[in-house]
Amino acid sequence: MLRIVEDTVRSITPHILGVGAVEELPEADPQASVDFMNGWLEKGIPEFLIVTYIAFLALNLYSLIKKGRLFPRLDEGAQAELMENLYEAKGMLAYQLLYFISSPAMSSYYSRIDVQKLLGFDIAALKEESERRLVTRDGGPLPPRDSAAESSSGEGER
Amino acid sequence: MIHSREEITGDLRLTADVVVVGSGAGGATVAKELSGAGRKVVVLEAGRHFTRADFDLRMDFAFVNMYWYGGQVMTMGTPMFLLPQGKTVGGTTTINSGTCFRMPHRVLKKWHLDFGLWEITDVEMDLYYSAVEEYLFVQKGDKEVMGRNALLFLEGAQKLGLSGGILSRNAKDCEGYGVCCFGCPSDAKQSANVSYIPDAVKSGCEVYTRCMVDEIVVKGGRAVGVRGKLLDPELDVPGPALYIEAEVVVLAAGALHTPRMLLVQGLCNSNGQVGRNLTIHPCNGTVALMDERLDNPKGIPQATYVDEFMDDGIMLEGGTTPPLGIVMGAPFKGRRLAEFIREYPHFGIFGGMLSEHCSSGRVIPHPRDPQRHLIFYNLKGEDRRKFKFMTELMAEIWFSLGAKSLITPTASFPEMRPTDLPEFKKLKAKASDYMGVSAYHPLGTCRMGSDPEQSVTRHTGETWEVENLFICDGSIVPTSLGVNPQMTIFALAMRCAGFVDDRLEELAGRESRKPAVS
Repeated sequence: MLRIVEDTVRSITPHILGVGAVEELPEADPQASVDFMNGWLEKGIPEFLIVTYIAFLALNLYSLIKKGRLFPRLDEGAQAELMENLYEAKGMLAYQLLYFISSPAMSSYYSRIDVQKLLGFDIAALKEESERRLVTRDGGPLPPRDSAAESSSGEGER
Repeated sequence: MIHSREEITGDLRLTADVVVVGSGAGGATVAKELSGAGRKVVVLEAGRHFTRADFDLRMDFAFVNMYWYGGQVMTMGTPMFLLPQGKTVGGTTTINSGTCFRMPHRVLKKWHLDFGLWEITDVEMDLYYSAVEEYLFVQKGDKEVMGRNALLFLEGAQKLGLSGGILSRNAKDCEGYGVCCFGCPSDAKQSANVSYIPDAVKSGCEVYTRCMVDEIVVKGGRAVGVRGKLLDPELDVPGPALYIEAEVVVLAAGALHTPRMLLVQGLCNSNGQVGRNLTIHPCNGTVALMDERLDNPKGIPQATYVDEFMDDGIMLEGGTTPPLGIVMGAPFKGRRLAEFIREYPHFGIFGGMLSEHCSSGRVIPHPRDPQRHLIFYNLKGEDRRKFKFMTELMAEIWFSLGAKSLITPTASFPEMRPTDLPEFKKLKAKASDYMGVSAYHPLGTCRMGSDPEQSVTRHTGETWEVENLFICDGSIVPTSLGVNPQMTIFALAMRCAGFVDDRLEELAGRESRKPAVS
């Protein structure tokens, strides 16, 4: 990954997630965002990688124009102010830019088992439960069939 | 046997009665039926083979490993839709919600009238549907495990006098782990990877993973095999060559890759129909903030539906998603995002699907990379209004249930409170106003019909232009179905398998009639 993109991913992560404002949520891990982005882009299409790079470079260009420095070199306050401006911006372009620059941070953070558990989705416990429960095609009597044909005809009930 | 890529060190050269490209609803069914009939079948799958032990309930793991291009398949047009497709043994059935509908009778009537598909009758389809339903344990979801979200939304709809019900699913003893789209961790969902493929393998079918087909080999107007490459186990880097010689070639790579393969080779396209007539189901979702805890996504993600406007091409179907799915589509970032997602246990989540529409699209090979496709699709005319109406309908239902606010997919109106609904209704529906929307169920890109000028295959699935080349996947379905298509693809593939078997009989007869060469 380009150094400037990597640095930007790292420095943008706490701003995008904003988890410092909510006590229950654990701290963000900027390096995890970088690692996630590397893995994801490797599996994806080249256009996605290009657009993602463009989005991060556009953020840095915006930063240069507005603040005279690249985004990672701004102090935290200036970074936050710049990001607030972006959040306030209307229109699809701003939306798309934010989508691409926020995806690595959000994907890595909200994939975390501890974060999901705090939000009520305990995947470790569910996985454990599912491992105790072996569903096989020929195992035991079938559950009662309640007129699959009728229910799948698309006619609903009122 | 299911062969992993790691087992194969050199080039792969095999001979079979039938080679099937793709292991989803179409390919797996054909493989099971034909290998069950004693045919030698080889299945080639581009993705890897995962089992319940691998399914760790994580959305990110599934997207990166089991979806085409890490889940980054997008349509080009306005708006841009994310069009996730499975790339694993079982195809999209492994990562879908498991919803099962039969095709409505009026749709088959349209196939008769508009495409001359009189050979496909209601009676015959009912038989295939019944067989598939029995085989896949299709039944209504269990209220005990489907979760509060699904039942609450249905209650709200019914209170407003809207028709709806509990969805039928191909799941047995489902406990509602809430992650159908990331691989069922208990094997309850009867996707092709736990049903058709294992049964095909028991009958001697050989499944090879990480195979990318480059060419359908045609000699004298007949398909005689496929050529391609084995991909690296992890990355889509081509490795050793593969060549499968077969009496019949079955393409079942889905409505995006099947036409791509034909177009790259310029096959079956003298009428220009390959890749055209793409229908998808554009979807949008709403997230409502409720007072009570709904505790998503535990439960059945797609458990109930509202079909009041089904004849207008609008279906509402559940679609819960873990926190990651919500934040990716949320209109907030920073502190507001964190404050918003903190309320996740109180979120009500439901989706709308434009199930019949006037828009259609096209698939073409990527100009610089023939292994990939480009998908063009624009939301046109009346469909824009319907797309917005779905949000209005979901808002009415959620607000009638006491929702405090609602997140919409509309860029100009991302957050709505109950008092905002009249203003939202006044908004002009613009295709460019939608963000974070997705689409599913691509169909129609190699449609079947009775007219060789207007279609790519006969009703049997065999292409008009290349003998012994059959297509058995969603691409032959000539119109949008108005409902989720997996049952129809299973049923049609079962039907096509019969014609492939007939063809193999015929070829064996021809062979035995040939004079012996001394």
